[in-house]
Amino acid sequence: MYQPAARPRVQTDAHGPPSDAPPVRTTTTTSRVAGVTLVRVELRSDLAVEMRVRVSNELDGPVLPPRRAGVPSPGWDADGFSGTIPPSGRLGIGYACPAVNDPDRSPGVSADDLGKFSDESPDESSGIPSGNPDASVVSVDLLGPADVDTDERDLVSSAVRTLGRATPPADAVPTETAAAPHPGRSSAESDHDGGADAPLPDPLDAWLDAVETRVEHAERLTDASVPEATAVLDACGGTASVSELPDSLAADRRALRTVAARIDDLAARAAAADPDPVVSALIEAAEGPAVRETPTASPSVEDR
Amino acid sequence: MILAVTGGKGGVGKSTLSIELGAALDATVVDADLGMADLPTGPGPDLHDVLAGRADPLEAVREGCGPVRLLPCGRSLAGARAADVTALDETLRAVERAYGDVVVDCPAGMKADAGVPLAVADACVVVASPQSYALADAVRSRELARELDAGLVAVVINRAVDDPPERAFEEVLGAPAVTVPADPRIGETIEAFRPVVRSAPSTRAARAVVTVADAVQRAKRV
Repeated sequence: MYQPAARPRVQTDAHGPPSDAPPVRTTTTTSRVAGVTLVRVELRSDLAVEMRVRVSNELDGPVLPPRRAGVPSPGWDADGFSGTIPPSGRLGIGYACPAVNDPDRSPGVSADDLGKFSDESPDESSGIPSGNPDASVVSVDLLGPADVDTDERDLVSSAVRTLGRATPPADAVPTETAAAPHPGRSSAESDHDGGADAPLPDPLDAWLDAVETRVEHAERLTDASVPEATAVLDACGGTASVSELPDSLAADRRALRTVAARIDDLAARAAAADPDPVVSALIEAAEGPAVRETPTASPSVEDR
Repeated sequence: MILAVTGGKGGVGKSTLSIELGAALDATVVDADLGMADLPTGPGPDLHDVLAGRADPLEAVREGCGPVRLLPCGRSLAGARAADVTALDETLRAVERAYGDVVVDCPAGMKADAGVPLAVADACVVVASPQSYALADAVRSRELARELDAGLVAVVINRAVDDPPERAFEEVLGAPAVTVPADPRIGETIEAFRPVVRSAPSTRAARAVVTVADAVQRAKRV
């Protein structure tokens, strides 16, 4: 999508640049999509020669360059892009970065900022304030006129880019680890545990049902219209119970996280523990040797 | 010199010719068919391990285990998944630095695993079968080699029974065509791991392989 596309002299500026304008002008725009910042950089050169240029990312995050067949497009590296602008032409590039473009950011990201990123507050529609905040997203360096050189390494990468990798697909054959729902627990064990079909203890079931009801109400009230909200109000039985909903929802969220952590912990410990050999040895010792487990000529006699 | 033995189709005799040329040129043969390797392997690290960064290129080269030095390739799907084909560049150059000439047995097809050896190689040999439809495959391989800067040394028309249209191949591909006649002994080169240029050097098939090897040597001097 954001292929570096060098378009040789697509248009000429009718007015011409002011005499004090820099020879290469940069236009940077950013947009926030699905948790990443998309950065678009347009470079316009008025010089009569092809210029080498270096565009470095200044955001607090890794550069996610455009890729073909898993290989970054030519010119991209971990910190940015190196390429050439055609004489009196334009160069458009774009990349993604998981960091937020914060106009007030200072060098060195603080723990608060990190917390804010991971919390994913749903607003953050980046209302572009005055004084373009995108200007400092990238730094552009002119490296001088371009000279022609091609290296071997590029040939290999471009072969992979244009031809595509022939690696076998990862999921062609299900492996033991891919089949098991939880790492460190084999599929046989999870069958034994019963997975989702195992009945829950009654108090736990009742509590989860109550939480589910509250969450459902909260979901229906999210961005609800008046008739929808009224229906929920009827179902809850008055404003009194609805007024407590935000608080109880927050309490439920904390409780669910705590319970989830405890359940994970216990499940891991239950999976790791293996009392079977010791228990059967103890039973054997208590009942006398070789009473159970004696191979008999007719095993069908034993009632299972 | 790194020589790629290529050809769009599978089963035309790329691996056989790689072993024969390896023996004729006293070169190291690298089985670069990452998905469907067919040159003999054995215990020890292979090309999958090298391309996955688990082994050094030189420790995967089998010396003295047969008539040619060989860097074999693993057979497993997991190995093919883990192998990074872009590492082939450095691998082939390391083998060339240590042992001299390298013959790369390329996989069939037009994906990156066939293209990268051509991108690394200094020259290539295209193997085709004598049927007329094989010419189209040879042309595609030749185009790919041209794009990736591997000069075409010769076209090998392999397993010919009657006189193949050598002139047509030469005119279309722009390189000398060498016909390797069908010979049951050359069919057993891989299975017995015994190239005819060593076991039966006076046969027409062996002489044809030597002709190709001479062309490669001449290309090397240029």
